[in-house]
Amino acid sequence: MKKNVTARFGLLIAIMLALTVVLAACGGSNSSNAPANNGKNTEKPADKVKLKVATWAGAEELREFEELVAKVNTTATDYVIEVQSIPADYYQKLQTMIAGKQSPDFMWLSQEYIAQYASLGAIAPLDEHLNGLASYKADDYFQGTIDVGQYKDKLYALPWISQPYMLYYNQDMFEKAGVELPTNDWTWEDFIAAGKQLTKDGEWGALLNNIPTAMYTWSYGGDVFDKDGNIKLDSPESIKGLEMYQSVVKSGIAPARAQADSMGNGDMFKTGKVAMFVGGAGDDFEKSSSFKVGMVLPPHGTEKVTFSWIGVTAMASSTKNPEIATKALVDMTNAIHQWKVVAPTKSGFDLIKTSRPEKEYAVETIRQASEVARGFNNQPKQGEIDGAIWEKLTQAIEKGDDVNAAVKSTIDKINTITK
Amino acid sequence: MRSKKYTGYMYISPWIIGFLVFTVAPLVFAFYVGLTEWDTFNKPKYVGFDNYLNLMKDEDFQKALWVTIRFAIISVPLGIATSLLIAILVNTKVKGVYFFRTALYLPAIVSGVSISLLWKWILDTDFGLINLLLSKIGIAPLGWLTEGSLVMPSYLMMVFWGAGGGMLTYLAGLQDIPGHLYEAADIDGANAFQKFKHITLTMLTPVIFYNLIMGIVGAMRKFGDAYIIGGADNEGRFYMIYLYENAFKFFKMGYATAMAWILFVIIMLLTLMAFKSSSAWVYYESEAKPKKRKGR
Repeated sequence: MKKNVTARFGLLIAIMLALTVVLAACGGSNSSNAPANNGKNTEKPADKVKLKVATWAGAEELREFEELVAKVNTTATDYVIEVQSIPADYYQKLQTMIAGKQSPDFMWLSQEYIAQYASLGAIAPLDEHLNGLASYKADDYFQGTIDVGQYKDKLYALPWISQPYMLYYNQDMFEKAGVELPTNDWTWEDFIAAGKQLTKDGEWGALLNNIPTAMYTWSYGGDVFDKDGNIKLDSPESIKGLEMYQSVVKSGIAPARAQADSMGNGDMFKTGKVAMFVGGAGDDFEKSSSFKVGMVLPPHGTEKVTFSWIGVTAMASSTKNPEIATKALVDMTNAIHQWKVVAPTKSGFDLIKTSRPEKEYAVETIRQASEVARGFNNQPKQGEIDGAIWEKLTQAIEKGDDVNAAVKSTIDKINTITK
Repeated sequence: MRSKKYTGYMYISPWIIGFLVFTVAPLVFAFYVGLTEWDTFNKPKYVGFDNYLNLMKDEDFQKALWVTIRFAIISVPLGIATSLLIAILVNTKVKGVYFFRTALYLPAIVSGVSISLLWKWILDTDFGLINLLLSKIGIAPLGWLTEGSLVMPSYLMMVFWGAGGGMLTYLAGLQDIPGHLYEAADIDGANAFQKFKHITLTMLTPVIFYNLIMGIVGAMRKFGDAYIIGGADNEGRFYMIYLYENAFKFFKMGYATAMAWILFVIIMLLTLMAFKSSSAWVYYESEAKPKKRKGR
């Protein structure tokens, strides 16, 4: 009898253990991945739509963002937003969450992911819900920034930051070498000529690593893809731009890519090793350099244009109440425009004067750049396409290979990827 | 009787359920995923063996496989030889041997990411330690990670760093060799090389075999340091890196899973080959049969 009781007890323990294993595997997402919350919006009335925004922000940026979201929540009557911080392996985790049907309602994205996420149905078009929403002012956005949110004529994301690329220069080096200072009207030829005068032992005229290959094509009216996704890389305009790229490389005004990478691109400029640097308008050279820094529009070919790094927030297609969510997205994005510099909107633009007073000398130049700044015409398989452009085009041009042959090889590879 | 049989199964059910849920089910699912086109956001689309056929035509796949195989062919014997050499050196009775053992084993317990970052600096063209040393003897800086032809030698250099980890098993093996074998060899007049070849190496073959298998698996699955360090001309794009890119950058989970299965088959075949060959060169003392002497 005693033996029978012991056996039954053992059996009970075994069953409990087995159940524990199964239940542990089925655990929800409310444990280690619980959203970061600043504690200010934990009390949520039941009638408010609960929304989550995923961000790569960490540390100080996260704290500021949480404060901003808390403020938005206090004025909202029909929704409440929670911040979900993913400071490391952001896109990998986001992909896993979406695959596991645990997608946040909003997600920060870098522009190159928009077409990819839209084509896979992970994010939803906003147009229908934006119509008639007074808080959304389409005309306020600089055109180039809102364009990157488009995929197949629909708007999928709202930009919250735009960093147009500017040509920074070391005024001391220019004056010492007796070279005329750059202007907003500089052409690539002017850039090369000045760079040659400034290049001497241990010092270079310019740094090219940051300039996207596509930007050379844009400055002659070309592109890699047009807005409809057709390849434009072999157009005469694009070829002309790429030939100019090769001329700049061949002119010897810049250190080799690997050398500049290992020395730190921005650091080379900060330490006075290069006289000109193309970087985002928000870069902190004015504060961190010991010389006088100037800023103008990047050199141009037949068209004045510059690249801009644009961050956006997109809305998940799985969000349960897209109408309210869109309203929340607009409110949150409008609030970010009063926080992040450089704002992608005309109304938010002047924030730079107060939040970054050291940039005041160049505010009008940055405004001009914002008006001509743009992102890529991103494609659904942009990740692979970027790899092909780097491998077949950028490296080939920098090695001195024939531009037409490099373009053909790149197009062949792109066609293989997109077929 | 019958209820007793089921009681037994119930007792081992925690393990059985864990094995089925966490091992068998993912394996079956992974096999199915390898036969699909799956972007992870939407439902997988069955495509049969298309992923496997496309991989055969994929130049990037071929390149990544070739880089990995080249690395494995050189790094595995190199790692074994270096670890063995170090183990023999620290098995001698010299002053401070415990310090050397600890110092040589330390790299094995340092985080992989820190080691990768350290090597990235060591191999740097402009500020790297290696080029600094080379400059002392008048050699111009070399692009260890920026010139395609130097990327593989750079990764092979890193193998020396990890040799201390392997050393530990060889050291244990060396200390397990009975002293009387060497005494007998001395009486028979064997020289140092003969003792090393016929006693040390022979007695260590099970440890070498173990390290060979682990080395093959490790080399074929190389990821961490290559992910951080990279390398020009895709020479640092090892098999697992390309697999990761397909899964998480290109949203081709089916394709990546097919790659994982191919890697599994390659590793299985290499391991089987090693096992098959082991009867010819691995000596297990416990399996040794005494030779019959004539006239008895």
